[in-house]
Amino acid sequence: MEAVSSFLIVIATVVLGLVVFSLFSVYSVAEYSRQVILNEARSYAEGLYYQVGTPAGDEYPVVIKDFNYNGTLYLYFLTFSPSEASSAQYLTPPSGNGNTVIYSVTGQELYQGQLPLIKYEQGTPVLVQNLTVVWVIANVSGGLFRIGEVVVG
Amino acid sequence: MTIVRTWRKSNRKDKGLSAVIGMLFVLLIMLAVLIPLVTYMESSPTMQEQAIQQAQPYLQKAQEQLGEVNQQNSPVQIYYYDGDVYLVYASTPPVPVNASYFLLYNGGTVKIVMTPQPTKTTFNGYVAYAYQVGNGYSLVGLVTTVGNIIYADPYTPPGSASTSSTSVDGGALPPLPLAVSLNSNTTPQEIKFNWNQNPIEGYFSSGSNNAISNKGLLFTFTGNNWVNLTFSLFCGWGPYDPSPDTIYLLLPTTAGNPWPVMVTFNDVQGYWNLTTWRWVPGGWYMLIWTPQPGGQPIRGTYSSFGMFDVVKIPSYQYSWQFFPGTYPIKLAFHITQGGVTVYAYYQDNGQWYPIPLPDQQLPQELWNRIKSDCWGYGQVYSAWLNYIGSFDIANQQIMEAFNVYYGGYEQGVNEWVTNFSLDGKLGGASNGGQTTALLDYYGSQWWQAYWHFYKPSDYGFITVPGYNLTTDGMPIGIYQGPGYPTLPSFVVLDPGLSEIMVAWSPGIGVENYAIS
Repeated sequence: MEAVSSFLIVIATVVLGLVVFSLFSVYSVAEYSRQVILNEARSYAEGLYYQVGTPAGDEYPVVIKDFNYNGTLYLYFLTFSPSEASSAQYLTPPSGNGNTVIYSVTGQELYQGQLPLIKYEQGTPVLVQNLTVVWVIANVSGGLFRIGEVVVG
Repeated sequence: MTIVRTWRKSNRKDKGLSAVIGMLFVLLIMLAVLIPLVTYMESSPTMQEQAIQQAQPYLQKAQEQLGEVNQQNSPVQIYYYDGDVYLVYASTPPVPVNASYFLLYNGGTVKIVMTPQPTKTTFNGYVAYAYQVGNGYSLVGLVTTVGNIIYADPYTPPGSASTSSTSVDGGALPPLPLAVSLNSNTTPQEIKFNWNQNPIEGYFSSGSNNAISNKGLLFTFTGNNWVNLTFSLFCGWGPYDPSPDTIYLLLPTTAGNPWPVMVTFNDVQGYWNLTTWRWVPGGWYMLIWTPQPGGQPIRGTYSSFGMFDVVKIPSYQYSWQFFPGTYPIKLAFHITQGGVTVYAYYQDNGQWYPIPLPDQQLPQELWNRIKSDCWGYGQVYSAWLNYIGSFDIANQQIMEAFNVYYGGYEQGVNEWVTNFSLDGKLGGASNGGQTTALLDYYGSQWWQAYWHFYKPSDYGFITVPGYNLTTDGMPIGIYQGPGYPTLPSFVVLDPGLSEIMVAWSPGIGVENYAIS
């Protein structure tokens, strides 16, 4: 009888170990793949380069390149008031209804809702109104990440 | 009994085994947690570092390109002229300059166009690529394939400069604002921008040699420094006159030695010339740069006030041109032992342009300009000049036409500080003797004045009797009461010349007055 109970303890220990191991494996795989995506987004962020030209009227020409990413970028223009100029880079639009989610390169959710994104071919001049922060967004493995911002004004 | 004992031994062994197995699983679980954790912790910085390293060469290349195009001595210049944008290659740039788009500014709007196919040509003797973008744009920007925006400089071909000028006689200039941006590869010992007071005037009004040290535009460099200094300031520029005004530079000297180092100069693209210099009590040299028209050096030009320029023109009378405006200029001084190089730019609408002077053959009258508008006077006036004649030192005769200029400002109620100067030539014939010259005053009266000619070894100074140059310093403007002028002393810079030309100006507010 004692032999049976000892055997059951061993089995229980094995089962418990397997369960815990499986749980951690699932977690670590998910976490790892998330980190891979975030690292890729950070890589894009590190390669971002932009120039703001001389304004014409109220518009500034902006040219954006990403030396770590050749693909299409997306831009979102967020206007701000002069009083918000000092903190423009931290501004986010109010979230609304919709499925578009924009993440920061740290994985933080910046926005969820419906956001009018402009498809941007790298190196093309784009005219930006004064007092606008331009979110530079890249699609990394299906997720939209804000890899940088250009504050104009 | 024996069997029982054996069984008991076997039971303990199994228990021990299960505990070991359990521990192994615990270890396994720990590994399962730790390994991804370690990977997670390790991978982020490494990946980020790799990303930085990956982008670094491109970022560096883009930055380098900004420094190589349209900068001083850069291998590639960009000009916009007659509807074409010229990429002018003085040499091959380390970073290629490939255009992808053009930004064309016109009347407050900007147009973006794809880069047209260039035509290979030459520009001022250099290989160039011309892109036809069309006429009439106030500003043209070039977007390069590495993501830079570089703006083209306007180009004015030789001989096409406007020769129009407007004199502002008796007019008051508005107080000039000041904007300074500074860049230097060498830290000067002292750079001060204080335009509230003319340093020279400050010196003379206070009588203190130290007064100059903290007023006005002051650059101080000592030793053997290579200085690449860029600053901008608001000065008297008019929209109709893109040419540079006179620039003054003060250099410290060794006390008691008037010219320990004769600083020579190099023309920079022929734009500017060091036309004169003077010793200023307090241990300073004042170097004066003026535009160099027509390639003719302005020898012996001097101003008693140290701020003006005198130019000989075929007419007996002319006035200074004031160029009110707020066009900052940009200068870079390369000062080495025995060498000074000046670059001049002006800024318009936020953009820097090289001052297109030398090829433009500016009329001489344009370089006769007063500096007061750069020195922050509230009220500055101009006046017409009187011609008297030149004075031959050896024969003590008035010989020929000369030019003088005159300026002043209101010191107080009914009190004017006047300053005048002459286009002087004083020769080696001077020997310390005293000479008389006659000056006309208001066209009806001759005033007699005396000059004492120092020997050339005394640097050719001339003073009025009783005026000791060494102790009293440089001559200054005079106070003019109602109708009674006194004669200031003069300094002539070139002791190798043989005549002195003298003129006299009637006074503030009196214009168009001349004798013949």
